[in-house]
Amino acid sequence: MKLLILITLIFSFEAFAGCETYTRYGEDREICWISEYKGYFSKKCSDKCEARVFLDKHMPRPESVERAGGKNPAAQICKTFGYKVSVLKNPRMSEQSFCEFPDGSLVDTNAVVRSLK
Amino acid sequence: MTQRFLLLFLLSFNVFAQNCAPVNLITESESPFKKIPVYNQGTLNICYAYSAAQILDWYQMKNGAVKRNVHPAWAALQYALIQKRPKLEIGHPKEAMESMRSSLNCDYEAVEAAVKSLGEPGESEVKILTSIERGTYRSPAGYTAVETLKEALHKYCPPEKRTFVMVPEVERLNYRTLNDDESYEKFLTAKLSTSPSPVSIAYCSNVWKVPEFDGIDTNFRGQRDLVRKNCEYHESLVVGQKKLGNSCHFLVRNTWGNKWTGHNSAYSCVCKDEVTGEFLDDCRPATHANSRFSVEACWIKGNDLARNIGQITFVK
Repeated sequence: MKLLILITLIFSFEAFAGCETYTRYGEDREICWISEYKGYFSKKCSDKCEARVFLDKHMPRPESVERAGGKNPAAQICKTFGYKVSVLKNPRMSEQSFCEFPDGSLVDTNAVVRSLK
Repeated sequence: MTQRFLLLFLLSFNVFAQNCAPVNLITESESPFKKIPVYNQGTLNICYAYSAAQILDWYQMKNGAVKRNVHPAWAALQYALIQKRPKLEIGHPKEAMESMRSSLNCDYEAVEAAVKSLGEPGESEVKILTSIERGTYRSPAGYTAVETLKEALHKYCPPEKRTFVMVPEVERLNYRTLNDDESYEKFLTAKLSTSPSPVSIAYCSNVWKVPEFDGIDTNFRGQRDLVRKNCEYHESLVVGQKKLGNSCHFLVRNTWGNKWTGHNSAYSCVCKDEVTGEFLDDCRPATHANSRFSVEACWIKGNDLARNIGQITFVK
């Protein structure tokens, strides 16, 4: 039993080895790298979250995505699916766009694009 | 006349152009780009202002400034005010930079505070700006996006708090200034070889997805004529060049976040190791997929890019 707990701990640590505090106005968010998806998620996705459920569906790529003026295509795809787009800053102030799901979970928009069929 | 003289001068450096002298403004020592984060414009259409802000910040830091201080939203607002436009989206980096000669600059942090004051708690800056732009933000009755932002900024950055910003002399070529795609490639190469500084390009970003995409139509004489209707026009910075095989490749710094790596992550990029701070010049997909690396800019074949360049904006 102890061994099982230890293994679970090791695996969960590895999956979330890269957690960092990202910021957006008024709040800090813990964002973690999940190697299984090669993407960044909000910490609540360590278990189940709508962001993970969405990625697991491997949705077909939308046929038309509004792209005029060079908007970030990954962010536009998230918007096309009807989700909110949020841009958060990592501790080094670089910016990343996230798709925000109704349960508040976040996933980086590049991971969304990679998950599409 | 000055423009033509400058063109002839730069194009006369054919030897340099053919050599594609290696330049990398990201990794060079004391690079201002080490202090300018990789931006992400999200669904906001102000790529021109991101280019303008980065060029101005680069220029200030080359002349002694210690940190980035030009906020893209400020550049977009000054452009809109000078052009008497109601919205921030879609514009030109040259005019955005020039508009700051008369308007001065507002500290980056003051612009952030002003934008924050317009949103709900927890909303990101880009989200707030997009809401204002799309009219989904509850602006006072009859207020345009520009008026809303202008009023907020007046409160957080009144005229007496604004600071001087050095705005260099800026020039622009449009898609018909030179006859053919090859001349645009040579121009960029010569510019980077003779006076290495970031160059802003307006181009069809389709090229990242379809490398053979040809965004500029030619007339019956084979001269550049029109920007194709399906061109997804975008503005980015060219910040380097190097020769790979027989062709010159350009290093493009985008504003689509620090994990953007071209379509399907297929491109070779310049990555920064977030742990050691070191740069990796030939960062391939297997590496940039690792969370430890931040993507700073990506390499693209010179003639693929040149086929899609609509405008080039550069410091004289």
